[in-house]
Amino acid sequence: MKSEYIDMFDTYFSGMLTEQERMDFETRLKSDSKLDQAFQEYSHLRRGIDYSIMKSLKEELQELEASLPEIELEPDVKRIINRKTHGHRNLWWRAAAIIVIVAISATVLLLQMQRPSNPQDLFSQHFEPYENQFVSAKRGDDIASDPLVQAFQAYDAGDYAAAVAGFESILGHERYQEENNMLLFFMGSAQLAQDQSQQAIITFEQFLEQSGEHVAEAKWYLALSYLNENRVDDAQGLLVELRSNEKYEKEADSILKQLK
Amino acid sequence: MSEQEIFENIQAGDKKALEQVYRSNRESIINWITRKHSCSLEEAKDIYQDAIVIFYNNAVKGKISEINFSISSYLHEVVRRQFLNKLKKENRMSRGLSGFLQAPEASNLESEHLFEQKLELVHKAMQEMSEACKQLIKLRYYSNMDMQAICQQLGYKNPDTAKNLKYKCMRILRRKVNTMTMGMQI
Repeated sequence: MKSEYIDMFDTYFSGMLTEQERMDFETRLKSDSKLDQAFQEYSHLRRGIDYSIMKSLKEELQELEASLPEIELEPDVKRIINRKTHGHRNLWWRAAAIIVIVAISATVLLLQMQRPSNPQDLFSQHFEPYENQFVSAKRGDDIASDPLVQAFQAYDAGDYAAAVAGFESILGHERYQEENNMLLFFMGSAQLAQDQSQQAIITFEQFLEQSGEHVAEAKWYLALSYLNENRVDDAQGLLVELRSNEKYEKEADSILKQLK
Repeated sequence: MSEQEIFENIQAGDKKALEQVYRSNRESIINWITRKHSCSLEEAKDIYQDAIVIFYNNAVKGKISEINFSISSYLHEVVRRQFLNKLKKENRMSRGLSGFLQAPEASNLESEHLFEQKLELVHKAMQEMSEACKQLIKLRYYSNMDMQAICQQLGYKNPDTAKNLKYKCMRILRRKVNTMTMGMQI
C-alpha cells in the first residue's frame, strides 16, 4: 500500500476533511478501482486493529478474573444457577437448598434494607423499554407511507432517536387523534431508553393528565424517570402507590426497600 | 480517587484504572446479569467483560466525552443494549466484540461469519507484529493520537521517523493478513 494512500485514508478516517474534500475523495473512489481496493483493505485493517486491541483487553480481563476470588452470589442468583445446572436433583436436596436459600435471602434482604442504593443504578437495573404489542408492521396497505407505523418500526428495532422523532412529528395530528395517548406513552418510553429522563417526565405527566388507561404502566415509567433524575421523594410517592398494583408490586417494593 | 478522576485516567488509556472499575463493579453487575437474563455464571462473566471492554473502547475513542452518570450505570446500560442487539438478531447468540464492530454491509449470517473470520486474521497478524509496531499502531489507530504526540510518548527523534515506521508497520500488517488469507483459501 502506497504511503500517500495511507496518509489520504488516515485523514479521511480522522474526519478532518471538509465536506467538499470528502465528496471529492468519495467520487475518486468510484472512478479509481485501485484506490477503492486499497481503501477497502485499509478499512478492513482499521476494524481489525480495533478488534484485536479489544480482544487482547478481553483476554487480560479473563486472566484478571481467574486470579480473583470466586464471586459471592446472591441467594436468588444461586437459585437460578442451580436450576440451570442441577435441574433434576432429588427432592430432599431441593428441600434443604430451599431452606438454606430462604435463610440466606432473609439475611441478605435485611442487609439490603440497611444499604441505600443509588437511584440512577436502580433506574438502570429496572428500566426496560415497554414492549410494543399495539402496532404491528401490518397495518393496511400503506405501510411504507404511514408515519405511525414507521415510528413503531423504529421503536421495535431499538432505534429510539428515530422513534421519538417519528412520534413527535405526528402527535396532535387529527389523523392520529385516537392514538394520541398511545403515542405519548411510547414516546416517553423511547425517551427513557435514550436516557432523556427530563423529557420523559414531561411526557408521562402529560399522559397521566389526559389518559384513563395504562395508568399503572405510566406511573411506573414516571417513577423510574424520577429515580434517574434523583427525585427520590417523587419516585417513592409513586412506588408506594404501585405496591398495591399486581403487575408492579414486587419491583416497586424492592426499589422502595433499597431506597431506605 | 473520585469517579471522575478514574474516568479521566481510563480515557488516557490507563489499564490500572480500568482494573479498579472491573473489581469494584464485578460482584454486583455479574449478579445482576445472571438474575436479569437467567444465564450461567460463566456467561454472565463473559458479558460483563465485554461491557468493560466496550466501556474502555468508548472512553478512549472519545465516544463518552464527560461522565455525568456513574460508571456502574453506564455498564448496566451497555449490557442492556448488548441484550437488545442480541434479541434483534432473532435470538442468535450475541457475537460479543465482533458484533460490536459489525460492518454495516454485513447483514446476513454468511457475511457476518466472513467478517468475523477477517477480524480474527487481523488479530492473529497483530499478535505476530513487533512490540514497536503494535504500540505505534495502537496509539495511532486505536487511540487516534497524532504523530507529534506519538513521537513524544514513544521517544522517537521526530515525527517523520514515527511516520516512516507507521508506513512500514501497516505494510507488514497488510502483508501478513494477505498471506494468512491465501493460506485459508488453499
